[in-house]
Amino acid sequence: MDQRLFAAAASGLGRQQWTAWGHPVTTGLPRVSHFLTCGDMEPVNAQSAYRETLLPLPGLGTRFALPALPVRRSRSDLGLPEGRLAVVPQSIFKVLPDNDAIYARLLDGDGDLNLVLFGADLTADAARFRARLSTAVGKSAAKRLHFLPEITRAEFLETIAACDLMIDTLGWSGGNSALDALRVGLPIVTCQGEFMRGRQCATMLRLLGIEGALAESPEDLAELALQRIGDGDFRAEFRDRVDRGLNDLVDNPACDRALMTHIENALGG
Amino acid sequence: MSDKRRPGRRRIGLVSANWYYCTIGSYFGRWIDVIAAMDIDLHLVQLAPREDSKTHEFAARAHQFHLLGPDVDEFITQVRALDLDLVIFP
Repeated sequence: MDQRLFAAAASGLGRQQWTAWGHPVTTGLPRVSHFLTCGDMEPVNAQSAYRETLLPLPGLGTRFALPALPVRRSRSDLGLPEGRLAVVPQSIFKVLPDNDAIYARLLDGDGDLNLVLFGADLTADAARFRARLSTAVGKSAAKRLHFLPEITRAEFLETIAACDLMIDTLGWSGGNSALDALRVGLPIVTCQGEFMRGRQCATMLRLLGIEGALAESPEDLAELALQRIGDGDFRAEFRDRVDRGLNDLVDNPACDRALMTHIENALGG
Repeated sequence: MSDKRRPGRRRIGLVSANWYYCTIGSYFGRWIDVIAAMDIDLHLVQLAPREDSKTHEFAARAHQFHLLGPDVDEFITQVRALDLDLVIFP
């Protein structure tokens, strides 16, 4: 939550205050009574992780407008390397150091694989991020890290559509970016986390009926990625499931009804 | 702010600093339409200074739109003056 909004919420802006998973962690604030969450994404005993009372919504919890399909552009046109190409299409603040060993293992396990990340921007944070990852994977493998600058949504879609596999992030998984990957038919591998914020992408895949994309542990995620990146059968099955289920996943009227019910219950109908 | 229930239509505020073209806007823009269709006055509140064309698109779908702040004390006073029954921080 924006720091100023956090202060405002602490002081109280209305008779009741609720929050939602745009900031997917409890506020801890006594004046915020309820948390609208994606019930399907929460683990067993989820309530114990929140000060607020959970108000579950089904599926994605909202109806998401899919972007238009991107123009298919060549890798050379996009400035991307040829060969096997994995992508971590996240804002750099979501790529926590816990992920670094996965990228090191991935690049070590396949000497022809390249990894695309964001963080080429001329900021101190981005420079630290690049340096951290380069150190983590080692000098030689670091040559196969490709950092992209902030780009438009259309360019983002074109870029991920040109990749072979999305590696989901540990801890705070893909949400919007995972939906964009599904939109362009980009296969994903993920490892479900302890909290809802680390289970969004895994839940999407489960709801779509996709199998073989979920690693048992963070240590297994790189191995799974190495298996899947060149697996044509996996890619075809993944895309088939997405084709059959994505529209229902992102446009579920039950989300609207559940939100209205929670509000009517709170405000007395 | 009084805890007493005010007569008349209930008022909900969807309050964020992210009502523009971003992940939160993409995810929660739908809630504007859902709540606006209920028998409720929907106040969409954007904490300044960020705004773009998407902000204005969202604003048009709410009953009332407020671009408030950026000073937080001023923002708190302004939002409290809306006398909202429920504030949701998406």
